[in-house]
Amino acid sequence: MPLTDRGREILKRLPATHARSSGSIGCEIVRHEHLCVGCGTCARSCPTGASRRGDTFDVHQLLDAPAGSRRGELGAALRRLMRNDPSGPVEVPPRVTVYRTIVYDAERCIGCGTCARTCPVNAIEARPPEVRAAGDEGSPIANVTTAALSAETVS
Amino acid sequence: MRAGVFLCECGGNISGVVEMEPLAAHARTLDGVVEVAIDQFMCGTEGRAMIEKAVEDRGLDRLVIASCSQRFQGPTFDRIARELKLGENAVAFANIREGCSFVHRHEPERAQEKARKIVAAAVARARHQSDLPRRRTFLSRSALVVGGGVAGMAAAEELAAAGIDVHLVEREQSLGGYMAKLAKTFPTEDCAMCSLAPRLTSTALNGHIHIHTLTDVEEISGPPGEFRVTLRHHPRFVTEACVGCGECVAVCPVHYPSSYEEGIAERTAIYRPFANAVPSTFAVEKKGWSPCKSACAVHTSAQGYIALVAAGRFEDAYRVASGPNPFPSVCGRVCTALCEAACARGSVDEPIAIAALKRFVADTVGPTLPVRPASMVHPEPVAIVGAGPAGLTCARDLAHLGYKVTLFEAQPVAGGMLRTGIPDYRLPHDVIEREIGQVLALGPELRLGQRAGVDFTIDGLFEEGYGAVYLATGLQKSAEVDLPGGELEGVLRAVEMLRELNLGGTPEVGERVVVIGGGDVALDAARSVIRLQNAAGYEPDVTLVCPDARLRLPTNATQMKEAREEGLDLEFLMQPLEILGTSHVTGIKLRRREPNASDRRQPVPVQGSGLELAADTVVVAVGRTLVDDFARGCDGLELKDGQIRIDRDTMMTTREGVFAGGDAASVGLHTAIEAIAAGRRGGAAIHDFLRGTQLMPKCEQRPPRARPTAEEPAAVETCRRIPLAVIDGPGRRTGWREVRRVYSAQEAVAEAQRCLNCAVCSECGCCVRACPSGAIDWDQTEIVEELSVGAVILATGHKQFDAARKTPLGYGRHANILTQGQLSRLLSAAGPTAGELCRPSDGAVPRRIFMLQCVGSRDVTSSGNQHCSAVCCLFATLNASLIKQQYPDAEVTIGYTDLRAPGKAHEEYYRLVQERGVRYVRGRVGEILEEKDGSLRVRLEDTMTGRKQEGVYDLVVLSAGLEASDGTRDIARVAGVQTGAGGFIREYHPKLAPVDTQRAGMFVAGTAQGPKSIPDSIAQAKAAAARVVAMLSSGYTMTAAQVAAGDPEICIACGVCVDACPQMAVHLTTGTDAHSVVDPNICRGCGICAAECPTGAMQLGRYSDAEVLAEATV
Amino acid sequence: MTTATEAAEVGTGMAGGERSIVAFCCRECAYAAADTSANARTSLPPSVRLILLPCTGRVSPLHLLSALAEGADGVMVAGCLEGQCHYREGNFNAIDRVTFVQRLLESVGVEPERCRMFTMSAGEPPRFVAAVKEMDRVVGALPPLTRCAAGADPSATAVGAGDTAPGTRVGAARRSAGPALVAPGGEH
Repeated sequence: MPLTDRGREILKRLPATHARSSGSIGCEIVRHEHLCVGCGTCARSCPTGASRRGDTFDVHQLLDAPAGSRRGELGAALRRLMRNDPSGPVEVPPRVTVYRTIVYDAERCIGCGTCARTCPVNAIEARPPEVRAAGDEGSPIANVTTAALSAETVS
Repeated sequence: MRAGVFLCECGGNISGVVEMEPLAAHARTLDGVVEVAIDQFMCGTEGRAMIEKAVEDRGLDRLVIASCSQRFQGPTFDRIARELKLGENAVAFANIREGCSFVHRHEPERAQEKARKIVAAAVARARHQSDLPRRRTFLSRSALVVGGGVAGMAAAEELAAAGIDVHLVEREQSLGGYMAKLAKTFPTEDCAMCSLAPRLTSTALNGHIHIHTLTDVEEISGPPGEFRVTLRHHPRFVTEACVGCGECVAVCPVHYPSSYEEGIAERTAIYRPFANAVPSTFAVEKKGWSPCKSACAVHTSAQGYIALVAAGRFEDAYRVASGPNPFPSVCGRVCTALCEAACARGSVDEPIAIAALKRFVADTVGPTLPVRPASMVHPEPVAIVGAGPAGLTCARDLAHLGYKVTLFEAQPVAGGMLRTGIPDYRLPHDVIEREIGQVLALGPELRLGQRAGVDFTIDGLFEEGYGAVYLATGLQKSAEVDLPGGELEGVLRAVEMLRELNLGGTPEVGERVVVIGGGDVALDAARSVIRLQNAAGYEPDVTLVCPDARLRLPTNATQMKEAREEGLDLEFLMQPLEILGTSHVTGIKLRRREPNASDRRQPVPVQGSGLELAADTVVVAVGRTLVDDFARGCDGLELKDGQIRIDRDTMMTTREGVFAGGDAASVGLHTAIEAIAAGRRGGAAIHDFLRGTQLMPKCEQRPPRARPTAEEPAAVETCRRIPLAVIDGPGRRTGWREVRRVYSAQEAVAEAQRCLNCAVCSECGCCVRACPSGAIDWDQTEIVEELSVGAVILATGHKQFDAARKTPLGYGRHANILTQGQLSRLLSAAGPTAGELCRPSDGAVPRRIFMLQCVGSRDVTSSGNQHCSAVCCLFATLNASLIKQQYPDAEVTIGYTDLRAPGKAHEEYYRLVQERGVRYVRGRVGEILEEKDGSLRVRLEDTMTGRKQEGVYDLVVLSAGLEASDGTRDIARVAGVQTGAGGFIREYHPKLAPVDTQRAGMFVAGTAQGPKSIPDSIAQAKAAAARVVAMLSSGYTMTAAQVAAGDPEICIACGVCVDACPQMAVHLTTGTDAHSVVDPNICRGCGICAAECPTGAMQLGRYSDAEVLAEATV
Repeated sequence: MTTATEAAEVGTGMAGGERSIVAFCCRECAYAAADTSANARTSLPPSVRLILLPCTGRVSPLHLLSALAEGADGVMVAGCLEGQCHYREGNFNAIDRVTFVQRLLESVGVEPERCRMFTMSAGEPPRFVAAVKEMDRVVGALPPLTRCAAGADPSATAVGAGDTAPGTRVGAARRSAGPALVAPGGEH
């Protein structure tokens, strides 16, 4: 569910902690960075803007990527040239899109699991909370998120 | 893989450096190679035979060609492979000539090694090459030609001749382009229009050509062969019923610099640029509403009547001024004149004196025009309660619409506050009475002394059979004073005092008067008191105490100044605290306030600043309130906040059939013009109600407000407002004579001529009335049309470099400097001077003329263009020759950088003109200065001799260069084609594809591609047409092999490729197996998407990752 | 891609100890400039081998790193002048990708100047020649590029192998994956 501009605006005005304190949907989000291909689908689909493409890239994401994947191929080539372990994340020039580490802001995350559902390479896991009582009316923010803010409901 | 390696010696070019046999031997060792052959010229017939035989004998499926650069012979070998049924991607190239033998001639050993590696790389690559699909696209047999100049017309005619339907789009009013402006053409000196006019006619008559003038191309999408084009047709405001008689031009009062005449002559707002224009239909140029019209509550076209005053047509001006407003004489005196505040002339020097002009027109013409009664066509009588400006306006509009109207007025006179609230010296009673008389002459019946709720009731009116009632009772009572002592004797209410005065009474005032208030009423009261005191024999002693920092709108500065001249004391920021006195007023207690820092209108009291002012009369003017008698006997009518409650869209009150407006049901300021506007809305609303039509919102959408472009006001010479004569201050205290005088006709015309004509067309309506065929249609709007075409030719042309950008040359500042384009208009027999050369400053025939070349061309400074404009040398030569033949005495000097005459017969023409006596000086001009008599001093450095020389000339002509027109820049953006230096559209290949653009199916012709002469433009246009014919004639086209394609199995539909594609050729499918899809018709095979793809799903044909990596990692 | 099958080459560039530079050239400008300069028989350092691409926008970081990993001592990308790309902005993409690869190299201790971007117009053969010579000079002055054997470090694939079968593309794995919302107490 892509976020509308209006939705983004509204969310910007909400305090970051509001999402959690007011009772989130509650999945725990676990990202497996080595599987990420950097396509940015999670960032685009996140209703609260908790995930976004960062300005840096963790070189380990290449070195640890599965063999056969695009990043794995790149990592294999880099590994052959390596003289030392990566000195830290590298800054990414503006026009490089897919080699960016996704910045995940747990404070903003409402645990809706959209990213996990939409991640095309299953690099994100959404672990539901232990027990969720039936008839739980849900949080206001969740309702706002799903109903008003997503998927260009207005137009 | 069964690959054959074919080594080309290139006649020694390769074999002279690289030994072929060892290279062949190495090639044989490579994996997958089953055949190696050497030939002297592999691209020749023998080489081809060798390849054919090897394919047949050895069953080859890949060819590795080791020869010259793939950029040269690539297509040859690809074609051979295609013909041998090896598919689209069977050839791998090893560039061992440019990539090896040519560049390593002095290092044969290393060249040998490198050649081996290049061949090995090609073989490695070949292993990953596989056949590529190509798709067939069907082509629409139609074309879009953008630009209706000589190139566009030539292309269109050529296409039409081939049976292709052409949509010829032109932004301007007529076809013809720049050539239509030229006097004659070089080198033959034949008349430009004589050769253009037949083309215009034949284009117009061609059944295959659909001409769209005043049209912009807004979007071009889709693949070549079936482009989808969105056109925006701008309204012409003249229908095809136009017979081209030109009656409209004769009556149009607006004169505007003509772009066709290069600004040296004016045209009217309704116009046709030149006699042979195609289409011959006239057009109206409208830039929306002028600021004055937008600002006016009734949207009077002030620009319209001002233009007519400037033209001396006062009667027409009156018609425009009185059209929406039955009280032009009144408004010319008392209107708040927001139009003047909005006037664009205000940003130059002072706004036009719009109100004064209106008054002039209305006073001069108004009394002279007879009014005929309107005919009654509708059965329902309408009652209007209150004969003030709102009620009278409503009555007039309803009378015009054919209703029988009865006006009920409580006072003994009609006119409302205009009559009973405004003193004589500001609005003479005979003026308002005359205009009321004109309303009543239409038919409405006026019943005076009839107070609603007392003498009759609204319910009763309906019982009598009235169809609708309009309540416009106004605010007839002074607001109560919330001050201690307000009940004392000697405290007067301004509204009541003024009413008494205006109804012939003489209110009693004392010797020392204080007026409390800050608006128009307060000022009117104060100034009336001065006159009353004068009449009673007192020295004027009136103090206006205003609690605010300044007077409230709508009181304007002029009124305040007049009041001061009459002796009024104005005290601002004074808060009245108490009116002093026991039974009669003795004074007033005040406190000084300070302006509030954040809001100057909300002063704060200053502690301990109380003061007292002695007075025997206090006039309170702090607002007016509703007298709600009428509500009695009007069932269902609701009041709210001292106003009648109305629906703002329908103007109806809560009682059906009862409408309201004016001050009693205001939607804006309590001003005369707002009341008139309310009356107009009320009339329309009642008509809607009674005629059963849908109730439309009465607060309508306004057209865009026009303003002159930023540079226009700056270019205007300043000229202040013509002052309006007034009676001198002390003198006017003595009576009730009107203070301000009216303009004389001469003054009015001079003042009106200051107007900037912001909206161009002023909507004065003169043309509509003059048109014999009823062709003028102001209701036309923009129309968006979609077309499907197979191909596009861009022929959007050039514009002249703005010579004013070269400041030292003085163009735009010195009158007698022209451009060649302007000179061409002066020399044209159809031009503004009928071919007579005369200089702008005094109309004299110039004897000494200097022409300066390369203005804005061949210029490395930031203000010019680097390119040579190609035509200027001959253009100047032509114009010089024309001058020399027409005026043999004239001395013409051309100052040039280099004289360039490379076209056919151009050099001969240049020599001929030299023989005619035109002098050519190779030189650079530093500066051009204006002498007192308008002559021009030119300082020139002769670059042949190095000498500096100076000359004085009567006329200087600048050969301003050519640069891309705005249309060219716009279409490049819309069409997505590249532009280069000067903004011209870049061709696909400067030599081999001179009329192709970067986008397949789009071609370029004429000066849109670069500066060129007329024959070159036409040649290019016909070449572009030939390209279109070639493209469309087969009926279908094959997509390229080198296009991107996504593997749906691998694609994760992340959309990175969609964002990356510069051609917008990629889109995503939806659903569970969403993936990217490339349109091979649009894709141009750059591979940016493939490089961006995070999974490797997207690959580019011929340059897949596997192919590139195999070649790169050998 | 062609996964490396060769044995590890340690310490040298190409056979014979000569350096090797791969030049990815766009067809419209750089390769055209190369052809023009070659037709004028302008000598070039033999170390530089040209690869023809339609646009430098086609170059991916994988091409650059793989060429280095598989034997090149330097890689250069040669494209159109800024603002004159025949596909609008492919060269700007290439410039950023080259910068990115330089940063990757730098972070693992390899000289970033082994990967360079050059721009030129088709009408500027001398600019092409200068770029090639510059690259040859700079790379020649560097110490030899050392490489590990392909797959020498077992940890290189260990993590990935646990998640997806070696050799399958990640995208393919997506089709066979289970529900996205993993039940509590799943594999982690």
